Amino acid sequence: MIIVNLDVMMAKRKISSQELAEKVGITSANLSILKTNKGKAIRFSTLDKLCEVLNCTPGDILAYEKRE
Amino acid sequence: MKILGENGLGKILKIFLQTCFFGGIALLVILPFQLRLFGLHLNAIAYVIYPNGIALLAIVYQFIGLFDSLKNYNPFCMENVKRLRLAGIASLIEGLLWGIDLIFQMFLARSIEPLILSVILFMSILFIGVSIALYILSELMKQATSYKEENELTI
Repeated sequence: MIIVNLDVMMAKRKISSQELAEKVGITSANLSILKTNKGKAIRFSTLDKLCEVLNCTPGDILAYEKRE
Repeated sequence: MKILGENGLGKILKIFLQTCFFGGIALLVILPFQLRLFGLHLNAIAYVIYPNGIALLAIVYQFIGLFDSLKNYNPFCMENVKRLRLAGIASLIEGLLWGIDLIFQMFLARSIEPLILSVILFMSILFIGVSIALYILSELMKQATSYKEENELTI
């Protein structure tokens, strides 16, 4: 399964949820869905913005973990 | 014509269904007293009217919930899938009850009235058909709900 490591990257970049949501152009509620791994899909445009704001690659935000 | 929302057609239909629902309950409750008033006794008729009435009320009750969700702009939810499925089951029971009535008319009451028999047969087929349609609708609603949830959870 795909794990979203957004909180790790946010801690590294010392950025708050509110600030990130504003810079990416999504609501705090949607950012929270992403952070808590409740999302079903992520748009390339959102991923692109996240990588741009956090100055990282998609691999830093997303990880694959084998289902048990 | 506005269908969803506070003043939409859904609300008007909900009021109509509520009237049918509570009117139906009142009719079933006062039936024995009504019969007594006309000097009749509650006999075999109770075994036909009460189960049919309860099954119909169950269908109406599920539809009230459905139109309530239309009023709240939220028709695609799992509750509505369940409501349609329950209405389908109630409709199937209704169809079977008409089927039992047909068997009763043909073999026990030995009725040879073709009009009565064909009306009962028609009602039985109609309700079984409605139950199949409701089951298909519930599956469609389930699919639509899953698409809606997926769309909502795409960030």
